Amino acid sequence: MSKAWNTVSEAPAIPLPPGTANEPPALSARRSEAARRAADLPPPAPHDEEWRRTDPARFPLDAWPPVHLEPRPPRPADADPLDEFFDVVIEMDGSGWSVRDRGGVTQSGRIAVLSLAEAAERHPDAVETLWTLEPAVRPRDRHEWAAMAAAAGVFIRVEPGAEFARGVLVRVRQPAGRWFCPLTMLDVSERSTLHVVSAILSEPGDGLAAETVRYRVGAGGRLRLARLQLCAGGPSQMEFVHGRLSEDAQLDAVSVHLGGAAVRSRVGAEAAGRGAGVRIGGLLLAAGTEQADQQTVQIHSAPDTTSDLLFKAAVRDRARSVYRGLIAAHRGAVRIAAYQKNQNLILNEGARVDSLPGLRIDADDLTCTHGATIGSLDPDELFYLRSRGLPESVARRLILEGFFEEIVSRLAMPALRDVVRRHLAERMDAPA
Amino acid sequence: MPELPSDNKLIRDYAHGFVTPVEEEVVPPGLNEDIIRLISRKKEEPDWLLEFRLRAFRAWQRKTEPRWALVTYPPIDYQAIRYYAAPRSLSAGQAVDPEIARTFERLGIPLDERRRLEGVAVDAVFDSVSVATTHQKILEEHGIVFCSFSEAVRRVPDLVRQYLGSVVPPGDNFFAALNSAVFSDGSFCYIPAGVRCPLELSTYFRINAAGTGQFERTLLIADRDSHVSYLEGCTAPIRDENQLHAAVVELVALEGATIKYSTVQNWYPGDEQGRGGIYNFVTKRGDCRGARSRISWTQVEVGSAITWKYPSCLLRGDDSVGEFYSVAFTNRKMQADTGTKMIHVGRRTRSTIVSKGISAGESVNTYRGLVQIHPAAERARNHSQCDSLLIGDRCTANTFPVVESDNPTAVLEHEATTSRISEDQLFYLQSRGVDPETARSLIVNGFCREVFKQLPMEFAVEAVKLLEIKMEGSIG
Repeated sequence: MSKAWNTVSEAPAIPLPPGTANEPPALSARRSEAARRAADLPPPAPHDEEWRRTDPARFPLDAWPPVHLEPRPPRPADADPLDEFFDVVIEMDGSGWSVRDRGGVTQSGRIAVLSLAEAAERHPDAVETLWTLEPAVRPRDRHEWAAMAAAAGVFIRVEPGAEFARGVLVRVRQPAGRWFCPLTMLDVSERSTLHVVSAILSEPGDGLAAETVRYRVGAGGRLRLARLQLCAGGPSQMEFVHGRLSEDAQLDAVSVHLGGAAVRSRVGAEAAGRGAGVRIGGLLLAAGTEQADQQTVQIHSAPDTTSDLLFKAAVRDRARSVYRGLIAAHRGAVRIAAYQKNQNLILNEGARVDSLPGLRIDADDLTCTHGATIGSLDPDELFYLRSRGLPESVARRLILEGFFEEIVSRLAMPALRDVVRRHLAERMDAPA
Repeated sequence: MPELPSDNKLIRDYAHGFVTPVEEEVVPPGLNEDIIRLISRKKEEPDWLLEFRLRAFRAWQRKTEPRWALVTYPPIDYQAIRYYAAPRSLSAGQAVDPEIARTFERLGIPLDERRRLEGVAVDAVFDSVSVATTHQKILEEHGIVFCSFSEAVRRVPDLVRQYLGSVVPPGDNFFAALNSAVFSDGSFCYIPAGVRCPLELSTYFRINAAGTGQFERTLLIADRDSHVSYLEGCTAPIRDENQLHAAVVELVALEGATIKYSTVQNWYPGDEQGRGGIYNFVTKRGDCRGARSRISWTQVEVGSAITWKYPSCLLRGDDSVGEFYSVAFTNRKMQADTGTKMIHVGRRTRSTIVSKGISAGESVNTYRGLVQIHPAAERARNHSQCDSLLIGDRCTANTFPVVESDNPTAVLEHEATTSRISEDQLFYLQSRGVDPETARSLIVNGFCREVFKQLPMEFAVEAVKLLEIKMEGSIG
């Protein structure tokens, strides 16, 4: 990597967004390096193993002009009823990003919400660490490097031992017709707790959004991360979520995908400290001609760590869902328990599901399990409900709600659960 | 190469590692159209077969060696391999050379009619050629054709021509194309309609000559409502060099037919340092062409430096059934990337996958599988179970299944676990006076039971013993 630092003078082939010129030199260097890495990698081809199941044409890298996310003052029009459940509300859209500190928590000095450029000045080590975090078993691809090159956004740091009654809401509105690369860096210090909810919405139209989330959780810290993507249609979406947990740290992540013409996501966690625990849940309901390709990575690099993953998907109409999971246990990661489960429902003819769970185990004293199922709604359950007088459509919806409830109930806030349930019901009932 | 002294540790570990001193007729090393023509001429083949070989060779030249499997090995020099080696005595048209008969006897496969195995007809393949096929008379009474591939080309050319390459096309993959170009012999079997084969059919493959590869081809056709159980065994001498074994096995099951194909693969795996051993790069595929047909693969893989094989079932006939039962044991520096493919095309097709991987030493053991449900495969059903057992902390176990469903009425389940031998089970056995080594062996046998019970009785007994021998010393 150090080699790349010395060769920043070369012109990157991937255009950098305007407004990145005045950033701290270390950050600009990283940005140029990412642009060059992206340019060095070949564009995805349909026969690449990574892209065999998703149409690369749905994720064109050079079709849209990049957006640079600069801080801007909050606008009253941004307010939403959901805001009252959070201390801090961050908006990110095509015009920049803003922060509203509703609970006045930033004044206490226990939590800092900074722009990436500010963070690179004040917390250079943290930014450096988070910027370079990547799962070794799944190196960054061209899209991810390109997203890093253009990434801008918010850095949130929680001081040691801090805890808040309410969390942080990040509302992302993906603009149409742009290459939009919001970045969220979460630096959760030891013994502190942070709850972050991302609500992802999008403008109607084409475009490409690639969101990067990097986190690290210090010893005994806890991060709750909920990502709700509630928009149908709109730009193609990519997301790259990855982070590292120190000793006894906990991650509880839930991702919900209800729509999106083309979605490609990767959620990863590395249990890097003894006793760290990872819990990841995912829910996807795809309809129409939507394509979703979700990848998860559970890495165990320390002993006595646990991970528990459950991803559920249902597809209707002509939609397609691909799930690719990986548990990697490194040498020396003994006494670990890792679990990965992927359950899928195909609701009608024409829809399609691929499931590729995976285990890579280099240690011996452990238990790793994965399971995958694909099927349709249980005819016995349908019969049971119909024999009690429920119309078929209601019976189907109830069973589907039950299928997803296992994930919905993992969301910490009742208000969020209601939002998800409402959107689920709308999507289930929508005509094909 | 002289035989190693019998008290050598390697000999104890791998009792099949001896070399038979027979004079062999070989072709010069290298691969080109002339060599292929030479092999074809030596075997007095018809033109269409030479054409098949040449087509495959041209396909092979256009292909690149696959690198996606999780195995590492130095580049293979395909021009340094001899593609044909046959005992000279055989080409002179004599009866089986006493040396070769002794070899098979030492391997537990007597070829002479008086002492041949009860209930098992064996086709013995020595390097590139089939040396003997036992029990011909009984088989002929039932109209069963079971002979070496070369003989089949002479005896039943129409059958061979109709089915050869119909399951694994000559250009299917790099190693299948190589095999199709240079295959020297192998077994052919045809079971007529309605016949239940009275014997277990068996092929025993033996690599003897140095600097050669073995490229045999097995073609097995089960006509309507017939039934056959087929066994395959393999061994090779201990050598420092790596030898390539690239076989193709094609199975065709017509309407209502059942084929049970069992393999105990015990090629020489290399020594403690990973020197020598067989590269076992094999394409095995079964085609359930007719309705209600059934193909069942059972494999016990305990040898080879590298195993790279995925016995598959193409379930085309409605209500056809595919099964895959596998035990793969790797030790020392062995590498195995193995699994299966179940392609569901017909309606109500069913498949079962049971894979048990045991890794010890510094070995790498990977399960890789595909279950594919095509849109027309209404109410297809699959259950897969892949378990890995780890012995020691320097081995690696990987599981990479792929499940694809294009039909809402299909039901698929996949489960996989990886763990080491349970301390509780060990403690239980030891507290009852069982010594640790025996206890571990018992637990491993229990772990593999589901697969072993699919094997014919004699083979199951052999498999259990073989695994015990292989495990010795692997437990620290």
